[in-house]
Amino acid sequence: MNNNDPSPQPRKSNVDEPAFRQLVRVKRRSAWPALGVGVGFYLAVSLLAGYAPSLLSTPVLGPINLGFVLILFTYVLTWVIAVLYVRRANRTFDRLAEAARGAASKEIQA
Amino acid sequence: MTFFTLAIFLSILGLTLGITYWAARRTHSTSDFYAAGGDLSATQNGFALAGDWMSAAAFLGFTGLVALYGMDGSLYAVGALVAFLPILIIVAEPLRNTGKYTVADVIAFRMQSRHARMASVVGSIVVNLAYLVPQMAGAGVLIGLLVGIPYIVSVAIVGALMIVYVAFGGMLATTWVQIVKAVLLMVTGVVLVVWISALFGFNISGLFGAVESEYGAEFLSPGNYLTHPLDPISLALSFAVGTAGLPHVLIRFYTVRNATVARNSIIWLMFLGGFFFMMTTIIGLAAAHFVGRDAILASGGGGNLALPLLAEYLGGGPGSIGGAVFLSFVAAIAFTTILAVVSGLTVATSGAIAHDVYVNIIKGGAVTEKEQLRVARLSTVGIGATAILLGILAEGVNVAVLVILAIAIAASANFPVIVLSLFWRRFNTRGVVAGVTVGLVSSVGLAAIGPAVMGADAIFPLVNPTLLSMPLGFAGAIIGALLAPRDAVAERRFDDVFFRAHTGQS
Repeated sequence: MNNNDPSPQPRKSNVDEPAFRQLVRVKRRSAWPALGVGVGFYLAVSLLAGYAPSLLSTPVLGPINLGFVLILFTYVLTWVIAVLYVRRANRTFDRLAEAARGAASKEIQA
Repeated sequence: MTFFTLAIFLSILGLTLGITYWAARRTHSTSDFYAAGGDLSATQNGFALAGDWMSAAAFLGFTGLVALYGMDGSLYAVGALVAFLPILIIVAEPLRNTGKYTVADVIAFRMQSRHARMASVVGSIVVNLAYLVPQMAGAGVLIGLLVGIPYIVSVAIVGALMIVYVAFGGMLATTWVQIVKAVLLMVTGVVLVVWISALFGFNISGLFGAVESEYGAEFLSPGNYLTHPLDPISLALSFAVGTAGLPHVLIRFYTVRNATVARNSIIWLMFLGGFFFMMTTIIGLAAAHFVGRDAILASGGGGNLALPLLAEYLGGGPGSIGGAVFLSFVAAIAFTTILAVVSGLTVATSGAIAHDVYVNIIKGGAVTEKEQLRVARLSTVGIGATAILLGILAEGVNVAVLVILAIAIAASANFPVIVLSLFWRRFNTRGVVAGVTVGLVSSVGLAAIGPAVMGADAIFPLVNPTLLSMPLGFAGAIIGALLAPRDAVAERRFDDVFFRAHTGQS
């Protein structure tokens, strides 16, 4: 081994820790669908409101038309998505974040 | 009328001043002043967020829009709920983990640059003022109409109270005023909705049917207010993205200990606020039915008095004692609502001026805790005075336009920069400055040549410029960043920032 090796090992960054990589992966896998469905549905209803007003005016529950039903559904969908996301976050994200922090501090001590 | 009104107003005033006194005795540090000590529970912060977000625009504005225009008002209302999904999923936790008291803290932490902080400060202050002025003007009009005090005096009173709450009680007073107001608002909403339902035999479709037979099926259709087919989606985008760029909402996440509490507080808000927004549709339709659209239009303010007039009707109608009591109560709650929101805005702006500009940009952080607190309190007085002045100047201006503009600016100048700072390795100070500049200029410019300002001769057809100005803001930020030379040190720093944003530790 050449003692004058000029290229030292690069400092291993916290972001390379497996626990952290997994945290990011799980977060991404949760975030995109939640946003896509939640915000996407609302944007879709807004597009319909602008471009298909007569469709939304169709009575569905007596005098209550499709538009109001879709808006009501947007509320419920948003709530469900938020609760599911937070449940996963409280269970999984925090556990992984804890592990990542632990691995990082061991790295500092090493 | 005057006696009841005065009594109710003074009671609520007394309560809020009592809260301020209690909070002032507990406010000793900058952490107390800006973040209420940083250890609120999820329930407390959730209610405070609800109090912050269920503004007079929701209470009076959404109900008024539904009463006059039908479904478009409901589209506004549901947008205010959906807006918190991006906050919950993208922004809240990283912000809480990387900032101290302000939004600019996050940008500065990533960029380690005074220019970046300054750009972010500009974005924050412009949005805050754009949001604050219509609140002041709204308070002036509301109190004038319901109590008879001249506009200028009303604005001055609101401004003075706001200065007192924040200068003495800081974020702690603000938080508890917001909590109290949230409870009052929820109770009022539930009482109104239950009452209305009872009048229709607890069959809500009866309400829809009554409104339809009076005003026709077109009234319940979309498009009565959002006339251009792209208006609804521009509004939706504005809410969905702009809310995550509103400093006074975002700084609420500094009042909790960690990401878990932050998340749970958002859940509280989404249920409280969401439920309330849902109720505004029922209340608005009931106002259209019982009070009548003509009466509401005649009362002025673009429908803002729909809910108070409905309350008056349910109490026994104009001229009756019951009606007067209900009206006074609703007016007092609307007043408290405005006070709570302007307090939150003042704390946010004080953070930008005292903490960001004075302590960090000018003094580079070399300021004692005691001096920081003193400057924070002083800045509050200055902001209050400015708000009063601008509020007086804004008399007669269509305040709904300004609120739309505030959210549009937040969507175009603040949101892109926050997101790119938190998630893009290649982002840099030049990107921050470019993003804020392009976002600001495009949103303000497009609004100025839009229907809200130019009416029928508008060059830009949409009331809400977000559909165009937000992509422009992103483009400006991205291109600005790419045009700057690569900085290996800064990019490596991103790793540390990213790690901390998602784990809460550096």
